[in-house]
Amino acid sequence: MTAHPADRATARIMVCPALLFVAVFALYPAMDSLVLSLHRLYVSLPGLESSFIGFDNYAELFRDPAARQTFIVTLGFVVLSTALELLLGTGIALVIHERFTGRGGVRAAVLIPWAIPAVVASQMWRFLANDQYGALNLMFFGDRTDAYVPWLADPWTAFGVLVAADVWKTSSFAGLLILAGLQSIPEETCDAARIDGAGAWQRFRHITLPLLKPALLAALLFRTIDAFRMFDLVFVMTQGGPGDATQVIQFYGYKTLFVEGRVGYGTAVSVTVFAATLLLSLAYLRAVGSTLLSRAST
Amino acid sequence: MNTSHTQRAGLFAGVLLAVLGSLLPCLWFLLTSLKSPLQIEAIPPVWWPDGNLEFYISVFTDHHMLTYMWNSLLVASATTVTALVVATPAAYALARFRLAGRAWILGGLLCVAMFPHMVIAGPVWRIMERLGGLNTHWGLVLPYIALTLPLAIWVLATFFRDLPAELEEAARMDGCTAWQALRHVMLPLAAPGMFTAAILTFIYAWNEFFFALLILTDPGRHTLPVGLALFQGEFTMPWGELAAASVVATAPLVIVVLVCQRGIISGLSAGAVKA
Amino acid sequence: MAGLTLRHIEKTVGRTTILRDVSLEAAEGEFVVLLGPSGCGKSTLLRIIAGLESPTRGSVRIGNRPVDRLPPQERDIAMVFQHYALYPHLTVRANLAFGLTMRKEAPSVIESRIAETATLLDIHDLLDRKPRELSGGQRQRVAMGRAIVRKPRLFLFDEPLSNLDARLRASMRVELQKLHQCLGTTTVYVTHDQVEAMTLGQTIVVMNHGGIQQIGAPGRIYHEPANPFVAGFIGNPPMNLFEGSCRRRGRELDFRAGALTLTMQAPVQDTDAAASGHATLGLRPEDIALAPPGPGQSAFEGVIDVIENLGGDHLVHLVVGGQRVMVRTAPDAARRAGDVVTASWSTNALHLFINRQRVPVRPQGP
Repeated sequence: MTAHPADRATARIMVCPALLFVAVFALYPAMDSLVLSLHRLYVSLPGLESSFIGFDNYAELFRDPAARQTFIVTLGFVVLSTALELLLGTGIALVIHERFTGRGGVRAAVLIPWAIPAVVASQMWRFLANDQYGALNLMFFGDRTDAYVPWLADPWTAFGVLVAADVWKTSSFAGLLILAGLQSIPEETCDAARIDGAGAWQRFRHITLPLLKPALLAALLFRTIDAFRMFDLVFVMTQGGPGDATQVIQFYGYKTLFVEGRVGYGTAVSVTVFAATLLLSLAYLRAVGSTLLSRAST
Repeated sequence: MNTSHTQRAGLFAGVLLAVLGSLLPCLWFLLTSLKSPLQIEAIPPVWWPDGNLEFYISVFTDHHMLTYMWNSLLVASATTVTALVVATPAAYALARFRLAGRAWILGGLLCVAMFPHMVIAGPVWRIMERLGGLNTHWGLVLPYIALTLPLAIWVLATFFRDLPAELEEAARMDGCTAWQALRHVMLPLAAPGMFTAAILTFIYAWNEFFFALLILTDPGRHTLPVGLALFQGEFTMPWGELAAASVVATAPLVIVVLVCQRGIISGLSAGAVKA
Repeated sequence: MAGLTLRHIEKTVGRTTILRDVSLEAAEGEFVVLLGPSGCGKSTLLRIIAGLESPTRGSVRIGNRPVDRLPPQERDIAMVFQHYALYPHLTVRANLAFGLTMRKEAPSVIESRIAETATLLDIHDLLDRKPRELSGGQRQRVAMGRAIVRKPRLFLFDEPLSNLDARLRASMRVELQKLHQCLGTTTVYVTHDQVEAMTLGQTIVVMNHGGIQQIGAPGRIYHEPANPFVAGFIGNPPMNLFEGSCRRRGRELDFRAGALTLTMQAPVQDTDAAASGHATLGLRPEDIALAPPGPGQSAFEGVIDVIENLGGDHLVHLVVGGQRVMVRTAPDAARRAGDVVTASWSTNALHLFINRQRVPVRPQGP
């Protein structure tokens, strides 16, 4: 940790390229989108100049019934999938935190859904839920082919499969964050509780869970942010359908922006997602980050 | 005695559930990829395949699988190498020097990692249009670098911070500049951290779909996720080929996870809870 | 010609002052020990000399060259760290060669310097091992070798022996002394161990709370501590210190600390004003005898509280007028806790500090 003036100059040079990349390909685009969302602009009408219209795009967003449906779907998806992921993630973390032979293998197995490309996972679940050849039907109904359900054609079941696929893919990530929290709890604390006569459930309830709070909060926020940004699954599995039962906000933004060419409005949609995730990120930095950053600076 | 028995049983059940839940859906695709075309279309479906490799052959001969893989390898490798070259000195400086605004930079990077791709996609597309980067691999690699830098920097900074400061001070006394201390002393010691950062970056670039979909329009340049997402047959959905292609696309990742499970687990929580 | 000059060094971080107005001069070839309790700023001072930290104010000169603007690698100094800081990925030979390679010495020069150093430190057998294959003492030698091999203008040691066990520490102390005699390089050595300071230092700089308390040769520091802090810090067991007040009465001086009162037969030669006020009286445990006073000696009576057996000596804890007093004396099997004994000392051995400044106590003229 040297602090010589010459070193400070070197340090700045070392950080610069990274900041440059981030500035050009993340910060500037985000700002650009912010500005763009205040303009009226259509790709299909090239003659039309873009004109500044203030917050009209946002006003439209809150009037548009399609957008309202999108908000409801997104919120439902975020709440349901995040809750399930935290629950399963805690379970996974508790299991892979224990010491047993073959734990490395189990940890790797649990990691596989996280590592698989989202597109592959989407295709996989799409096929699992296939009305004729899918394993879901085979599992539930066996040979009774007349009972087979077209999972992705019904609004409710399609939504359910979407949540299931997301939970399957990302619970392990939540689990890893929670595992890191578990590992930071000194074993002595649990031993002390054991000597004090606490049973397994009591130890979990009164020792582990309170100490796990920061990790759980981290997992909650990371997963919430990610759920808001979910796109690949919908693109591959349902294209937002049936109807717009699975049209989450990211997909809605994509459609308006890149398919329909409503650049201003579509950007306003994506900026809304951006604002939501940014608020959550800042909340996270405030809650957990202050200790995290101060530790990073010692 | 009794409680320990129930605890063991509970642990066993938990392990079983976690492993089966994680692997069974994949297994179905794996089994599907080994079926014959006739078996695929059986209603009700059959569990066990004949062990037919027809789909694998078809994927490579009729479905550009090699092209996709090559493109993905190219993009992911270029991203990983560049991101690491850029992230390492940055992480070193952030971990080791009393840099003004260090906490802000680290916090800001964390926020950038959370940016929805959609919000930067449009402007990035226009930047690439101006630079002539549309439909090129470097046009995809550049935004990938920016998007993977935050995590890479966090992983590496956490790692650098945990290396003893004395070592680097000794190097300085031995006549190294800050750069030489990084190169001759810190880098060899940070190898495990660099490895972790490299794996995470590589997996990200290998799997990323949205930017690849936007920037690469020519099928000859598609990466694996785009190729797999837009996978189509002439009349019906070619599930067998898709399953085979998915297995091929995923196999390298599964191997990486099996080998590097430890590094991935420690790396992923950097910047979240552990740092 | 000075080997090292520090002028008015100050260091503040935020609102905390770590060093205040530290000035220090070391002659060419001198062995200077910075001694003080943890947190006194001695390590920060060393790091400022090294260039690993920059001072808020003040200047550093090595030889006759100001080095304030030079980064550590250009100051031509070598440092031995507390945890050795050997490069774990390099062999001992490569560790020794590293600094020379960085300075672009010719391979033949590097080769001969390593051989020379290995002979000096007797580490020939270790040259091809990695640091993790070495014991603590061996690592220590290699760390010193890495400093020596470069033939720098200045050696810095940051508590280098604190991680060794007691026996190794004792033998390394002797070896360090021999090494310095042989090399004659100006050395600044940081420690909190007064035995190391006493045995190694030609000059000891006692520090506390970021400031220098006293600079002097070991004997002087021990026999004439400049203030109560140095008096209490140097010496083991520590000096008995009595906080109280002084009043001059004609040719006599009354000292009063709680229930304990002493009248000194040997008054100071200063004015009344200087001789009165807040005072600290110091007496080393080894300067007190459990015997009736002889001529020119004073005495008091105390009750034995505890007797500690130090092997050769006994350390007797007395309670005298509510104050605790330690006496180091030859063993006497007849003494028991609870006994009332007479403790005596000669006035020469008294250390008197008025308003935290040393005041010379002289025996009364004949």
